[in-house]
Amino acid sequence: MGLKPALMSASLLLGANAWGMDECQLNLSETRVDFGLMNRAVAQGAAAERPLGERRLSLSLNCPNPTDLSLFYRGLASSGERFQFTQHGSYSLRASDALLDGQAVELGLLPGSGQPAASMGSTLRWRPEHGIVPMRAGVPVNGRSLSLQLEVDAWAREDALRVNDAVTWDTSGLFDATHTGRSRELRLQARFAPAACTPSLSNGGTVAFGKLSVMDLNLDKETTLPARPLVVSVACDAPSAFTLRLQDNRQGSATGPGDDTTYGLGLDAQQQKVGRYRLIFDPTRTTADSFPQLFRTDSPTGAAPWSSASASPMAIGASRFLGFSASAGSTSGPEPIQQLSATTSLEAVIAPLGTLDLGSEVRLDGAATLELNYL
Amino acid sequence: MKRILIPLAASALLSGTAHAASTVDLAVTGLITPMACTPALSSGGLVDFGKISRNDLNLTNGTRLPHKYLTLTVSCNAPGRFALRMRDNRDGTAHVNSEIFYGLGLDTSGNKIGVYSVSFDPRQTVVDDLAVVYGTESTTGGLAWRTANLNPIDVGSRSLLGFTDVVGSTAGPSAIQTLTSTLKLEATINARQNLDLSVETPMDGSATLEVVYL
Repeated sequence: MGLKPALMSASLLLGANAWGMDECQLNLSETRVDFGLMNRAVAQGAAAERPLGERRLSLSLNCPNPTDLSLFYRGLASSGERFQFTQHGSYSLRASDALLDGQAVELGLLPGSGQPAASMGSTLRWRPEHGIVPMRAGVPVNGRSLSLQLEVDAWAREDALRVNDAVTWDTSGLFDATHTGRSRELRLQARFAPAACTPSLSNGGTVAFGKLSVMDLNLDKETTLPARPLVVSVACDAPSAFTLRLQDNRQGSATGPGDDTTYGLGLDAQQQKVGRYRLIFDPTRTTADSFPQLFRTDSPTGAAPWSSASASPMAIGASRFLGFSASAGSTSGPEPIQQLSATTSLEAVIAPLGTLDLGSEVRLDGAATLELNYL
Repeated sequence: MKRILIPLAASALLSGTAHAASTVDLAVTGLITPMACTPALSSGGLVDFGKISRNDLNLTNGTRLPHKYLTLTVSCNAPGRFALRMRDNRDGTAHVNSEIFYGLGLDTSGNKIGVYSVSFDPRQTVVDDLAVVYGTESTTGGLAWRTANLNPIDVGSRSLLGFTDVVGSTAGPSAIQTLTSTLKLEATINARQNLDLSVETPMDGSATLEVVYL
């Protein structure tokens, strides 16, 4: 008598196991396929399409009883052989190495559920709107377990790589074993980074005028300080078309007529404007890559129309996008450049001392942010 | 078992995350100080060597001219820290390339006539009511100063020169209201063989002594 309860619980466990095996199982070795981070720097050639790589995964479908193991893949078609990977790319699926109940089988491509196989082989390109089914001797066969290898190849249109911002492509499809009631989602991802350019300024971006004695500044009119050189460098990991803008972080503190090329030097203790400065780019003191000469061009929108490229100096502004072209008079906008070095001239003007509170020392406190935008 | 197939649209997402443009910051700094110092040189800052005969010049070596002395006075409206620097207005005409040598201009054939240097001697310098002052220099724009001592200092176009009342100090110049110093000017004419002296050749040095407020 004492043993009976133990035996009973053992049989209950067995029962639970048997019940679980009534159901079919569909599994993917990976449910997320990541093609990684693409960078324009990696791009070569001028092909219309760029491969993003190939990824492999395996699929297994197991049922307790012999079943029709045909599988469909639901994904938006981009062509007869490929699926859409956003509007800008595509991917294909290839199935191979199918084993049915441990035995190698061929695969048949089904134009629709219940239809005869349109083609068969040990390796099949899985066409959109089609299913696959294990075949033996030219006939679809049922079984308990099917495993197969999948290869996912993806492509991006070349223009999709020219991104201004980081972009993630994210798409999904569904493996659907229609006769088993089982389905599995497959997610595909790829990320795109703009070609990275790093702007830098000489002396860590600080232009220091030091102490200026009231004796050396005009009382009743503005004083123009000797211009200071500032080297603006841009280093890109691939030739990139870019523009520059300068944003004032002391907005509203510039003296003189409002102009988006003048930047403020801050306010004194009585909230009086201390002065202003401009940053002049001189194409003749600007070099890039192996271009013999550079010309500046600009646009209010950062897109066409671009001003006719010119060699004359120009003050950078907050609302005009400044770029460089290799051809004088060109209106096609900035040239792709990998390394740029511009010796600019910072011209500061101090307000008439009579307008300032000289009860204490007055700080020159200009702050601006040079912004590099990709085209 | 037959299931009705529901066409499943694979979702496609094109997401632009907030990836801002690359940026770098610019700072424009300075300080308007009420401090005002006026430098003045004796004789209006003019040093005249008069006429020198070509026969008095060495043929193959430079010729040192007799030392000349100038008095510099710096008067400030209040005690303040400052340093001195001298800019060459004949830059590029010195035949010795050093920040302490200033050019004397070019002859008619474009040859470099000579150089001069201007030396500050702490023992020949009077600051306010101090019994003794010490000289110090900075080659880092005032970030670091060498140990103050009594050695004479040749003023430079890039280095800063200053005075302190603390011997051995590395803190740089002390606050000074009035400074008077006797400066020694030493000029050397280029070797005669390097010059075209077929016509009268003016020596035309010009430099500007600057007060740099610290």
